[in-house]
Amino acid sequence: MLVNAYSQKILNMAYQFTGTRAEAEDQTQEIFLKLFHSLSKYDTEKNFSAWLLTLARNHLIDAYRRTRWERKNRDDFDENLPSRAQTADNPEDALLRREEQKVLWRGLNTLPADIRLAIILKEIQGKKYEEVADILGLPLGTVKSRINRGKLQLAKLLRERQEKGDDL
Amino acid sequence: MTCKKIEELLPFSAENELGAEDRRLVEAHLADCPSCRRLLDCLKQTEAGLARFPEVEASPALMARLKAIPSSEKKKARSRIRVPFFQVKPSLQPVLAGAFFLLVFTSALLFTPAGGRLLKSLDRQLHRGYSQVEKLYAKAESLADSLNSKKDEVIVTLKNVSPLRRDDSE
Repeated sequence: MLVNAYSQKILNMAYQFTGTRAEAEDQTQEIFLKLFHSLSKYDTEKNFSAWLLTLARNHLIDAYRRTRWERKNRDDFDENLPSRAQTADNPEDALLRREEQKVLWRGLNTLPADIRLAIILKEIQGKKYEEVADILGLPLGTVKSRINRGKLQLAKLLRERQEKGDDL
Repeated sequence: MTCKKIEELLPFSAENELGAEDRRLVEAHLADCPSCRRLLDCLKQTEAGLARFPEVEASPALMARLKAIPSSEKKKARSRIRVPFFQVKPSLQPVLAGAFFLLVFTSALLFTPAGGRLLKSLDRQLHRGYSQVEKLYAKAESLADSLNSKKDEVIVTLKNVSPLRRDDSE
């Protein structure tokens, strides 16, 4: 069933993009409504997952332009959520990593919507550049440059934070 | 090379996508610039941090809402099936039937050879009638002209035969 297979993926994409759980759930519901409306337009020769993610991307960008979520604050970084790649850190390293992730989580809000979505697909959801370009409908070079710009912006936030930490 | 230009190359450096020349430039700059070295470290931490971002679980309430969508969409689709309006208003049925037959008749006239011949003969009759009317109208005009020209003569004649004029001459 479509809901069982894709709800988690769409919810996480919406959550990472909007930054709030409530907004992400609303957007997920709207994306699935659109999905059921547009199923007749799906070309069976195309990759369904990529088609659905493109539909989700279009919806999220449209909704973002209408409501401008960046004016709202993101939810606090939820440390209780299970991490996707748990490593056997010592408690001090684990704390540092959590701090970094908080900075990155808040930093996502500072990125323009199209760059944020490219970063989410490539760096968080682990897609290849080609897949991201396919989903976003952009040339490969544009996608690479957007992702690199976004990562650089986040890295600068992290450096700023670390430099402040060193000063304290 | 300035820090700003090196910064632009750092993401490619982190992914080992730099050409030999650029890599040499970046490495030379990094050897002397602690700020850019730190930025490169932060870039790697950013990539690792994003890859470890936690995932949210869909709540049971959301799953219930999502699973309810297909059935509610089917209901909406059923309600969207339109009933023809002549079924909604039976009083319009004779009008629609008349319009239908008129349409069939007009189509038969316009698009069949027999209809074409009939239309041609109607056209011919119409033109013949029209030319006859024109001829009658021309005859009537010439009659009116000849009557006008005779009018003066008739008046003079009438004056000559008038009894009053005879009395005057006597």
